[in-house]
Amino acid sequence: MGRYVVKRLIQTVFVLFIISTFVFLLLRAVGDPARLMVSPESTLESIDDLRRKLGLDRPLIEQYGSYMYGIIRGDFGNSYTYDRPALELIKMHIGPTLQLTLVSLLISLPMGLILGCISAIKRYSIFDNIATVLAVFSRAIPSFWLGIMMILVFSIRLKLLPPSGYGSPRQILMPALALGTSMAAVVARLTRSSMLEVLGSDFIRTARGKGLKERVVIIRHALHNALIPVVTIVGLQMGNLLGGSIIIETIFAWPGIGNLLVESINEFDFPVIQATVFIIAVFFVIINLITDFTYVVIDRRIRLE
Amino acid sequence: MNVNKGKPRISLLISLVMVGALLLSACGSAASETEAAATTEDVSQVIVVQSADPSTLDPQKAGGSAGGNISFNIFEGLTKQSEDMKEVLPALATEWTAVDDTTWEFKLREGVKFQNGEDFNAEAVKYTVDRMLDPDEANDSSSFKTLQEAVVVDDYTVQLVTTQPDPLIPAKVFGLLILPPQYTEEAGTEEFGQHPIGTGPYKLAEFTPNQRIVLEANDEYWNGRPAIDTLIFRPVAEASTRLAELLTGEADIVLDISPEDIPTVEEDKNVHIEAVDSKRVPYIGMDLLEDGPDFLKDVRVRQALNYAVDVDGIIETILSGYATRLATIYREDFVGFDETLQPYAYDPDKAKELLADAGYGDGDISLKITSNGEIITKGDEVAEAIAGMLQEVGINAEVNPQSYQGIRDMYIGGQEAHVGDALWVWNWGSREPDANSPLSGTMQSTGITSYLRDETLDAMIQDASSTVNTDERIAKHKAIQVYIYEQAPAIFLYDAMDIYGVSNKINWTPRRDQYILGSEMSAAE
Amino acid sequence: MEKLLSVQGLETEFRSREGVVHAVNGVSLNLDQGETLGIVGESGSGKSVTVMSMLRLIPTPPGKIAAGSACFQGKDLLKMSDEEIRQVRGTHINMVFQDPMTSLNPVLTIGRQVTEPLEKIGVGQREAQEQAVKMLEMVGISNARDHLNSYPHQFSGGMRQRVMIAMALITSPKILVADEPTTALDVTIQAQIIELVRQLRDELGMAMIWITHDLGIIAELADRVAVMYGGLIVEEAAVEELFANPRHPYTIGLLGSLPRLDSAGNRRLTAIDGLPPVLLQKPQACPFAPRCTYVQERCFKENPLLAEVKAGHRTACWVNPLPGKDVL
Repeated sequence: MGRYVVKRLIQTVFVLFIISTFVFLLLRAVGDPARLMVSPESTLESIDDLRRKLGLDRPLIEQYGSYMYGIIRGDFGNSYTYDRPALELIKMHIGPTLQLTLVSLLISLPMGLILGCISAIKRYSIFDNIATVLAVFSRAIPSFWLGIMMILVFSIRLKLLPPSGYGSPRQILMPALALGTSMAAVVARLTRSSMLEVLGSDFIRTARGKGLKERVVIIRHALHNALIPVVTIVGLQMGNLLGGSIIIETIFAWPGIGNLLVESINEFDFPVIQATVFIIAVFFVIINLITDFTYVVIDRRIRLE
Repeated sequence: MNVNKGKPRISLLISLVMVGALLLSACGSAASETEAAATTEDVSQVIVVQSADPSTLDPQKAGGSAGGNISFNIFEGLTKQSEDMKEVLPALATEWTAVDDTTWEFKLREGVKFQNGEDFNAEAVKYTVDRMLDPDEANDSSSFKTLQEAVVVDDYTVQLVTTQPDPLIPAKVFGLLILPPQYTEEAGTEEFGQHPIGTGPYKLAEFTPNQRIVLEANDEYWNGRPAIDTLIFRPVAEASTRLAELLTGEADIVLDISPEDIPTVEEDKNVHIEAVDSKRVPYIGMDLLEDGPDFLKDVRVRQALNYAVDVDGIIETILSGYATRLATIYREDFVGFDETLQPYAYDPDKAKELLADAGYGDGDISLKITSNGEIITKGDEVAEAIAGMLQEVGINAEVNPQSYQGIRDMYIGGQEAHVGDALWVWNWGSREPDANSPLSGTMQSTGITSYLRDETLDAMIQDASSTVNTDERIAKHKAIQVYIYEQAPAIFLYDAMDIYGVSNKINWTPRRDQYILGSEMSAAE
Repeated sequence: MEKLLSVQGLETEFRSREGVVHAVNGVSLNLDQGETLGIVGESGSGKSVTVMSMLRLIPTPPGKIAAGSACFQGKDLLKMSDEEIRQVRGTHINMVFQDPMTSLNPVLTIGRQVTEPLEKIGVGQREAQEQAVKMLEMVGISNARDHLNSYPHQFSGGMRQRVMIAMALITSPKILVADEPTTALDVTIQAQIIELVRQLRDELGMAMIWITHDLGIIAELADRVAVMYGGLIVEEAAVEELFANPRHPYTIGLLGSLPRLDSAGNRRLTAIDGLPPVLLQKPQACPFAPRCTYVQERCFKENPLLAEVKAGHRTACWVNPLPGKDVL
């Protein structure tokens, strides 16, 4: 276990090193931020001024060195546009993103599990078929389209919810649903097939043979086993959720890191892009870790090494 | 047996139909008439939704319009411009005169205080100018290229000295927003950008990046407290969400309504469209550099390109009529605008004739047009339309769509790298009612997005920009218009309109300079 | 005297892609208090389905119990409510399944799984654990207390089957139904398990139904044997009688395919040619006819009913008495 943690830590550091280097080089390959940041109505000299001020006139290797040294000290530099530490901006935006992904997980996970279980138990029933059709639709519909449709229906037509913004619980409902729908669909489909497989297994027959209540058979014996593949997918889907939040946050004007990332890409704010990508990578690593540990909790046959 | 086999399929079919019906009912239900809730609601708060979020409210940093919209409520310049930008009116300066060719003297308003109690005086003006011109600050001073220094004459008199005669200084100082010296120094750049203090009618109450900026009426404002108590600015990047904010009544003013959404807004009883000629003038840039394409070096080809494009058709079909046709890149409000100059007519035959004269037959010319939908409204569609029209006259034109970053990287200061196409969609927004800024930026050899090297034109621009006498300047600008009209170093298009969605609860008309000023709003009825 | 368990005319069918499979076609059998009944037959003969139907453990759909009754202590299991049958299952009639590797839930502890039947009838957790320890020790698991928190994957196949048996016996059932419980185990473990079950049965005095295709095990354990073929009982007799005097050609074939230690020389094992039938229709003729060495014309026209050939010995065959019993 101790060795496992150490190994994972080393892996993490390596992954983060690769990612930060990759982002650094990729951004430099895309263009010259001074030319991209300067107001189009300014002068040629102002491009040079800006380049000097941002330190972009230094040799690339020197820029890379100070960038890496900064990361080690937890300093991603100052945002070009906001003129304040990139990390501080991320701190301001991470809360809403975590809130959004968490709420969307809390909606989509139970929804997917319950729908998947009912579908499996009532296989080929009307309910199962409707759930199947809905799941296929939800998977196929891009989340941004769903988001816009929700705004059309719930805000403009029904006047039930505000179309965008951050702060009240009413405002989180639509983005969380739009973000979580596809996840719920994936979880529902997977739970269904996983449950079907488990329900046909010998130990379920054993449990029924013991005269246990059907509820106990389903939840304690079947679902518990069916969860193992679901956990993997949820772990993988968490990445999609984070990625999807970039689009969803833009549509719903949600002040999270997705929004910040899009904005900083538009503004060519290198430090903020670099810091945001780094933080998202850290989240991925954490999610993977949590997934691995969840396996161990659910299935004692799995050992981490 | 059959029943057993068929059952799952039947129920599948039923569920498909049900889902379909659900979707249809969501999309197809008749437009629900909402009660016109425009009763005598207390309009003490106005919510403005725009596409971008300002990163700083420091007026010397906030180059883009998103910050400008807001800064101009908190700060004031020495003068201000009328909504149509044709007149320069007193603001923090009460009167101004040209002392000599390179010196303007401003008399300042007395008794004005900054929102933190600091006095407004000549020192504040000098401090503001010094800070703007400090090369270490890398501030946005592009409008003030000619400004050399500010000289304090007495507490309420200040002189602005320029390196060359600049007749536009009174108009330009609308944008010279005055900062409180003491507070600005104490706060430092970063802090000042987050907690700005000015002399304006509104004070900053809250600034949460990507969320909202709240301004509150300044009770001590020298020109009287504004009618609207609170102004809230919210960024919403997605156009359809912005529209939704307007239609649900969550927002009172929404910027950048898409032309195709205009009918939707007009159908709604609670909101309306406000449109104004923009300060931005779109045009199709041409690569006229030495090592650029040869065919563009022939003036007949450049004219042919102008004749080949049906600009009025583009305005009608793509922009729903929300644009004003222009003969050149001169706006109607520019000093010396020549209304007698007729825009190039749509005449494909003439275009073909000119191309033939220049020695280019069908298919001899192949070119690409770089396009982007953010640089100008509907930029991709406009470029597609133009490419189609050029094909009509035998030019193999192709559109090269680029990202906002891509097209900026190609053309802003990109003369050396020179990786652009023969043509590209571009625009220029001038803060002053004068052609100096677009000419020096896009047509003078030293311009940041100029791909033209014409010594005659360089001299004409230089001459006009340093002419103080108004009549002379008008004459010189008319000559420039005729010259660029004939030389056609661009495909001239139109002045697109800025389209706003506005709640019927408030009275407000947009400004050509795109600033959204709370002091110009009031409750309707 | 009332039978402990009395199954009459049980019919079970399954829906499948090819049509309805008639797995059990009118099985009747009885079980007395303390008696051990062996059910033998090839796979697909309907022996497992018979006992599963009795306890209503057939997945429905695709399975369906079409007819019959199964009275346990005078009450028809097939007509009970779900709640009532649950009270019987795992309490009065308990099962041990074929494959101990898959019949235990991999993610629950042994202790949890063994105590579940007690928990169901309201035994407190502490008491249930004590009983589980006792039961596990009884089936030969040492350090049972330490193993309560073990997971099945930490046990070998034989150990797991012991756990299954402990789990089945913990409520002191009236009947233990063992469905080929030793098939998946190797021979030495098999012998141990059979020995264990025999001891426990004698100790606890319960009745038992033992399903197998292995006549050797039947000989060791059972009081009475029912031979199944094509979803029907084709012969039924006391175990000594059946081995000594088999009357159905199928039984004769089965016994012929059993290696006998007492037979001399290198006598060839007589396997039965052909495959057991898949019953897409209810058998209208003798289902064994196509494979039968003694087949007559009548066998293809009518299905013989089970008839007594001797007191306590019933068989279903038109050819009676059989010629050439000396094939054995």
